[in-house]
Amino acid sequence: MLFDTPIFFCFLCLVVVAYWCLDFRNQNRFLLVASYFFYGWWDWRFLCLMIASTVIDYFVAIKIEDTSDPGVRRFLLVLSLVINFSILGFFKYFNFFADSAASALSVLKVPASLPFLRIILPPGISFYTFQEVAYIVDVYQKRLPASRSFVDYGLFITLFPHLIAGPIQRPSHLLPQVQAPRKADSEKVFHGMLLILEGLFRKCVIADNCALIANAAFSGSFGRPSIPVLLLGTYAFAWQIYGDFSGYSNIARGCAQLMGFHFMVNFRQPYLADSIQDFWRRWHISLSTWLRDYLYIPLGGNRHGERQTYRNLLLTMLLGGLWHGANWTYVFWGGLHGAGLAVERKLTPPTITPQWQLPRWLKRILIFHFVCLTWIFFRAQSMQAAWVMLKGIGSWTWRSEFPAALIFLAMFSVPLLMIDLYLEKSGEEYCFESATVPARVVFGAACALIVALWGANQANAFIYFQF
Amino acid sequence: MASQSGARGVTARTGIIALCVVLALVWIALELSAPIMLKRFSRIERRIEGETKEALALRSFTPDGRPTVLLVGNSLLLEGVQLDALQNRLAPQCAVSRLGIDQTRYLDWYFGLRSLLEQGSRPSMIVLSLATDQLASQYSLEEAFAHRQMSARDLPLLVREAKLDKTQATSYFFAHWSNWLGDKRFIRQDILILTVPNFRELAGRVAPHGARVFDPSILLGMAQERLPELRDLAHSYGLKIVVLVPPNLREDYSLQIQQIGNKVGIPVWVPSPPGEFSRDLYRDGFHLNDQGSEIFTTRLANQIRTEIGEISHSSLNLGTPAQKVAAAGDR
Repeated sequence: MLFDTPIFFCFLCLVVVAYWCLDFRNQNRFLLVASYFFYGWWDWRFLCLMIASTVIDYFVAIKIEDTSDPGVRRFLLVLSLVINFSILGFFKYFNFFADSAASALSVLKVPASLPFLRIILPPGISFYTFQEVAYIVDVYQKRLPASRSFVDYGLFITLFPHLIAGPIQRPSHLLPQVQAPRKADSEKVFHGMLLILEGLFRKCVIADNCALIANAAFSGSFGRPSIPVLLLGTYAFAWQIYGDFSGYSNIARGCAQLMGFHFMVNFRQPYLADSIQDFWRRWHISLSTWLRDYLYIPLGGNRHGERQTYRNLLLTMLLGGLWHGANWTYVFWGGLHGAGLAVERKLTPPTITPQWQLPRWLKRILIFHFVCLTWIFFRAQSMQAAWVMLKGIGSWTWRSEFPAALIFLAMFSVPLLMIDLYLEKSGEEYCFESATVPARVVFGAACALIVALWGANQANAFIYFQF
Repeated sequence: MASQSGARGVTARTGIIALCVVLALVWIALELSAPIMLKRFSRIERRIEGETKEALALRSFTPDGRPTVLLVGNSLLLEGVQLDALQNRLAPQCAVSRLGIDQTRYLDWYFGLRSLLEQGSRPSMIVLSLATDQLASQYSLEEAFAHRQMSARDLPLLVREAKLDKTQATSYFFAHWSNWLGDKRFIRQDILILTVPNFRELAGRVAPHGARVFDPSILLGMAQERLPELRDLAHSYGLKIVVLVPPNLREDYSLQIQQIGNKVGIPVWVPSPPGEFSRDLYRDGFHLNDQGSEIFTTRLANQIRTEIGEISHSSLNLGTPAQKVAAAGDR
């Protein structure tokens, strides 16, 4: 069930109405069943896998809490991590590693025929695995008591708005909300509705229209890569992925608010970042903070000297890249960001005199273009395709449809840039958040009308669904 | 739902109600205005509507006793066959009508014809114009197809045939009943034509056409699967369906598909074998130009004349034209 399809809105309306007719305990039971239904809508076999994974972590967490022996606790933690990452590794990375191993062996002239399995990637597996791992680690570190109710824990993992593509919820943030009765708050519900409409605008109008240009550029419909094709394709993809994922996150947050839950903010005007570090404080915040807290800091963070810090940054971003997908392009994308973070750290001493700093607007432009450069690897089907695209920088071709493509791209990217500039200045989560109710009603209606008239007709799945 | 007691909560609650009402009004307005907007802005839509009405009204024979022929297809038909010339050439033998919808493929037309025939259309012969890769394609015009060409009772069959997932199937279901969901593809296109300079040229590059099928094993396999479906459809309504393969610059395995057609009992016409028409007879490598379409129309007219002669001959025992019309209507 995609968030921008009629069936999802029927499902959402039915769930929200029924949900508020129930008492607290039954609300949780009902939402768990509804979330399982939502997930099983794709394929019930995936549902079995997710339930099995949830049940294991539920019992392991209780066992960890009930045991005082550090060795047993550590064993249980490792056991849970191995199980979680084995499931993720098998479904997501088996063929990638088998293929890469075979390629490496063939380079060494060692004959090898490794099996290639037809594995379908279960939707959202990367997201719910990270949430389960965070829960187990938090319980192990005694930052959080283990949930004694399977319904509560199951709902924390599977609550349908975040189940498929996040935002990855922290146990300490969401689990207490699941465990306590939610109060119906019309202000929250109103916010939620507007977030959904704004999210649909980002997804259907911005992302899906920019996707037309990005897909044409990256698939060769605009001819061989050249400077105009490279620029059109890269800028279009930059706005597509931002509109797509921030739109998804807003819809997810809005849906959660309709039921009284609060999800963390996942995007804060990332293309207005003035450093790579700043970019990662604004882009996919739920993932970047997860990586910081559960990978970068446990690796040592910046506590063991400069060289270790650079290594940790690079390793964190490489694994963050790999999390996105089983392809070297994602690993390289992560590596570029990791290297960028390390170089930035090296070149920016904490005590820099203000007169030597570049103007902020220039830094923003530079960072935006660095991010765009890395998007080429993220978007390309293979490393080879990415290099072919990049080589376009050395040639110039002009086609009669380029001016129209440029106007089209501007039409569907500049509005989002304007929105971001406004939000940066106002500090709001969405436009007119603090305006009067009538103004917000007009904003919501305008979003709906624009989505209806300018929303792309091609039903593009959300990009992050594949991760 | 409980509400806050403070003034802010009451206001937000009013906002929720107002927003719901406004959204409902927007939806109703779009539903009601979609067909009007489309007809007003789009010449193509007016043509399709007219052609659909004409196709629905077709009976096997005209009142003066000539068999009727319905040509259906996509832009390859619209640009490859000169309708006026064809009608004039064949006027003594039969009455030719056309229903052409851009970007349509096999699924659009298999289910489109089922719906058309279910609603009472009864031409003597239907000529379905599709390139061989379009015959094998799994794509359709999606919501637009579901709204204008699909019959609601065919949805379960379509789900199996097109391997739709549940989300797609429900989207088709909603689009079948919703003017807005069905028409929004075309309305958006018209809006973009009005707002983006030179959009038509850009659309040719960026419009998603779906993956094209070139693998001969898939092309021939799908023909094996689909030609019998057309034969069964023709049999169940007692009419003739012919597949017409438009000219192609490259090998499209149309001659092999013609042999499959012979075996399963559905004629496949290949008036121009692949590669026969030189590049200068095409406008863009796919669609014929004026000169190409003139040659192709002449060849098609000859094919129809031969085929229709057989139909007229075999139906002589039906009696007078009036009786033929009545008999066709009773089927």
